[in-house]
Amino acid sequence: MTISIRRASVLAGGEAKAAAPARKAGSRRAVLLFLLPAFVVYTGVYVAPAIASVVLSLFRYSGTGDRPTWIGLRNFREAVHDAAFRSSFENTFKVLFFVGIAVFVASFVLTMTMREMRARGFVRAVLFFPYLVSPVIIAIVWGFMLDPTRGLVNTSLRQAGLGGLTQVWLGPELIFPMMMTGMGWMFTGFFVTILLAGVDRIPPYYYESADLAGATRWQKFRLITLPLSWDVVGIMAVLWVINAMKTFEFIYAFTGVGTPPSATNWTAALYVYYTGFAGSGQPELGRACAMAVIMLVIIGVLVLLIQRLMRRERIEF
Amino acid sequence: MTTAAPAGSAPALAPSSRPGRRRPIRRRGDRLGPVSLLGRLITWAWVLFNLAVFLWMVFASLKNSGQVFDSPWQPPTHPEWSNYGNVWNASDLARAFVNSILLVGGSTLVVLVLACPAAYALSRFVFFGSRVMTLYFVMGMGIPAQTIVVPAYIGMSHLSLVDSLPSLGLLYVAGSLPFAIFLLTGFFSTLPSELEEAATIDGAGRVRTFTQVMLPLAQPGVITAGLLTAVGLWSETFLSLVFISDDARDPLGLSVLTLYASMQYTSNWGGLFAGVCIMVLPVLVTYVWLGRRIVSGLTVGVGR
Repeated sequence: MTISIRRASVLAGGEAKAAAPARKAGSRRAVLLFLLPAFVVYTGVYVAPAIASVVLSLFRYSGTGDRPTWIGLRNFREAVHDAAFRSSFENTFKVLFFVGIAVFVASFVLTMTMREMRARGFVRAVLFFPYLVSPVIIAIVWGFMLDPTRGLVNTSLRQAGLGGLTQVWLGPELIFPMMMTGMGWMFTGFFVTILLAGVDRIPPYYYESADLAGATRWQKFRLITLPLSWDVVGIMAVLWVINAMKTFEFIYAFTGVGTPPSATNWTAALYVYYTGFAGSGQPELGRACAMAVIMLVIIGVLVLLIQRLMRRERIEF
Repeated sequence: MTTAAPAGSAPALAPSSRPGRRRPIRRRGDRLGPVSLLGRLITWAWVLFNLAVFLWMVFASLKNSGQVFDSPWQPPTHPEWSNYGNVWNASDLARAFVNSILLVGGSTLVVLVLACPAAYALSRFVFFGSRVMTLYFVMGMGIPAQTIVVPAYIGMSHLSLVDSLPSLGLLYVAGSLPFAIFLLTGFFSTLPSELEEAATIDGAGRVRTFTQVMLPLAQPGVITAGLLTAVGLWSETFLSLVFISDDARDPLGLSVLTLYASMQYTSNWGGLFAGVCIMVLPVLVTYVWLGRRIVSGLTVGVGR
């Protein structure tokens, strides 16, 4: 058994460059031929608009018929005083941290339990499925279950003689926590699947020898599982940040279709949509772009931070 | 370089066990401790909850509106199959279904056509800047659609391309390329290079080596990439919400949303759930049929 140390490279692709045959003739033309189409489409349709967003965030612009006016950083400065902007911002962080922590704790509990179960394949398949279904569907189903007057939850509670426990689940106070719960439910299966794949790589004889040494469950988790799946935890954190930031459909469909939800329930993703495309007044495309830029910055900063925090000697086994 | 392996080294204890495989952990006579018991309780409750929700959804699609709410847990006594027929025809879900199939199918095909050669070049060709280029593509996975939506909309309305499925498809393709290239780059780099060398010795050019030797070898990876792209795009609703305004061009997600909004007035709840089930069914079939590939594709970053 050889154990070597290597820096964890999160989300890094091609490592097997050495295996490629080094042929020089016509090399440049081949690279162009193979790479150019994807490069052009990706750059032209995805990267260029993303850069344009940064530029547009410095303008005031309300769409066709209007001339963009340069206003410098005013979109960002004014945003601080905009109630909708602030609550969207706060809600985004609530989702990132509260739902994130819940999803990670649930994923660890489920994974550590499933590791020892015979029916793990079946359990994983059932837990994972909500992630695959369209978030719109999840939102509709979740909304019907929680409908205060005739939803599944309250009806079941009443029929079980627990009428005292019924709540106005979709009222202004509870709708956002319920949205976060639904989001957690939707994402947990995905992270269980990833974590399980990481934990499954740990050789079983580590646990067996720990058993012989009389290690407790907690010691095995802290001394074997956690260090050996540490790089996977890092990948999960990065994936969580990206996925949580861009979640739109679920929140949109859950908090209100047809009528825009009150701005207190927006997240950054919804703010971009409502200020740019579906607001009550003039569309404020510059303002929408400012939020989009902030989203990008949050993702960038958090991903770098995670890589920093997670950076430690990677154990090869 | 060596390091202290946690829990010491005990390979002698289990000489034949291969890491990462299913293994019977519990020996006979082992009793579950209270912590395990609690964990199992939570896990099974979660599984039961998911199954119950799914069952409830299917039941609701076969009931009339009164039954949906009054007796949520009862199986439908007289299944109303007409719910399906009604939404399929009257609410134009048929057309939305066809739109979605064309949109998702077409986009996925183009993604693969663009991503396969690019990923092949990134993983096998030696050229200056290949690492940076790989990073450039992978970076796209972290750019949310909200960042591109405003300029993309402005640009497309200047070109009168808004409200058309092909231009929505173009956005889908561009947005799906990063993950597909990430997945396929990893896949291509695991393939043996001997065959490639043999093809070169036999006089095959790069294009020929790629199309006739490497691409067939990469087929499982290509299928996985296509599958994940398609399943993801099937659920996409944000961009379609912004870019499609004509009902006749709605993909399924938008159609279901419209159905949901109008049900507040028509209260044909059974019909709404029939629509929901129609949207879920293709995903369910794919999952049951090819779930293993979906899971292995999504966890590809974990193994390396």
